[in-house]
Amino acid sequence: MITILSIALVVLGGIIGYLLYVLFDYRQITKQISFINHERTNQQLKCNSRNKNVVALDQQINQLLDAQQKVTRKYVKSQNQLNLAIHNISHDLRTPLTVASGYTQVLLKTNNLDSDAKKQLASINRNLNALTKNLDLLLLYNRLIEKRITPNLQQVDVSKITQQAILNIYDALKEKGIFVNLDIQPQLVWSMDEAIFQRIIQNIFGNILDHGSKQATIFLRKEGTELILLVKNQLLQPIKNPQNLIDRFYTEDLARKTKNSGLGLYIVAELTKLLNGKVDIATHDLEFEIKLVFKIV
Amino acid sequence: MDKILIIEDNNDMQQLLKKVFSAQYETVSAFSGTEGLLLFEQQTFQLILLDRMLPGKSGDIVLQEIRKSSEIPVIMITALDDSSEKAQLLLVGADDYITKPFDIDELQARIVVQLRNHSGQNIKDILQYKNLTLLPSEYAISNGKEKCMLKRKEFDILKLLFNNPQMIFTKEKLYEMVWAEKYYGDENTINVHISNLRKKLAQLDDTEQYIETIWGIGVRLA
Repeated sequence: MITILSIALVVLGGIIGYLLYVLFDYRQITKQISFINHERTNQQLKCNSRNKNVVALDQQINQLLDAQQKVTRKYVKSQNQLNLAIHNISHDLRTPLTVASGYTQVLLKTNNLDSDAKKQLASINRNLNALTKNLDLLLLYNRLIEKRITPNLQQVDVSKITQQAILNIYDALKEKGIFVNLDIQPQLVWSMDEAIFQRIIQNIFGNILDHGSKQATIFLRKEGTELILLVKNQLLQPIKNPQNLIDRFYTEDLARKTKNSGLGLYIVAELTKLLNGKVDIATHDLEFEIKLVFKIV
Repeated sequence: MDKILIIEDNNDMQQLLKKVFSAQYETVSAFSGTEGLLLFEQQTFQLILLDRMLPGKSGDIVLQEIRKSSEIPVIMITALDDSSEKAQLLLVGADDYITKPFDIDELQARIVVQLRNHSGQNIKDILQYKNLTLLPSEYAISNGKEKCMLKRKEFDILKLLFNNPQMIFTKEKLYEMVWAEKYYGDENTINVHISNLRKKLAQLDDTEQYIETIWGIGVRLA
């Protein structure tokens, strides 16, 4: 009886010892994996165990880690290649565009053209400008979806930027007979990324030029803890589905007469989000309204 | 005649820039960074137009090497669309940059600005517009027959406008440029000066407009 009991105790002791031993190995593995996970290193598990089962587990985990690290390396590499390719394509598109647009500008300035030729040249020029604009939008869109835009927040005079941006297109607006009503609170300083904010309002003001008519209102004001930019303009034709305007590639200009890519407002919305803001669009017959609300970061 | 070095590998771009600028400037072409640096060492230039993406030595490297020995104005021509990268260009020593494709008049204007900024005493102010002429030695303005004395700041405002005929100045910018101090919203000072200036201009020539107010926030030469 005693012999059986002592054998059982020895066996039990052995089992407990074995379990503790495995538990120790298990803890070691968890610690190492947690380190690898946390630090995102390319390390592998170092196995000090003599237990066959633990060694086998280690090996399997290492194979998994290895495969995952390979995929990551491949992804980073292809991502870098893609970025480089886009960079190169951008250059390869812009240089011929510059030459074509440059000679068009030179020709438009000569005085010995008949009126037909002048019209045709003006049309070439318009189309080259549209091409440039859409190329810019596409590249910006690419940077946005690749999440390669990081806002650099600084104290920025948003009133000044808004004034300057609208003044930059003063002549173009005047030519189109669009009267602008400005209500910009002076010297508003806000924590912003200047370049991104500039891009947002350039897109919005560009829309007034492309789709607006007769009248527009630009309102910039600080209300409580919010910065509000409200732009209203009259439209040339009513918009059927205003909420879709923020969807990428959505355009109501189905015949594409205005060479509209449908990216403009999507980009405005995404960039505004990056700056901790929100976009609302409303339309009523021939009235269009876009409201941007930025919260203090 | 000012001499401009154009460092650009694309032949069509070279031809275009030559065509546009050869009437006002002497232009010299270099098709690579190495050739550009060689020409830069051998000859004297007043300005460099430098493409950023060059085969072999890139525009950035060329600029770095130029800056080791010279403060010559350099305008970079870039294909970039990322403004943070553009800001970097100015940090590494470019005086200005222009993005492809560009407006030829704009590039021309930028070249004029750079040449003016770097030419020391030879700054040539534009003193005449429509029927009126500025007389810098007397701080006055004249229509050929009569003249009218201007206050110092009035003269400076008018000179700034004469020298930048297309440009719209916000009141803030005008204040900072003419008074050379920070603007704290003192709109009244600007308004009073502009209004007095207008009266004086109308005394000498009431057939033409000279100062256009834009949406109440900016002014420019009419």
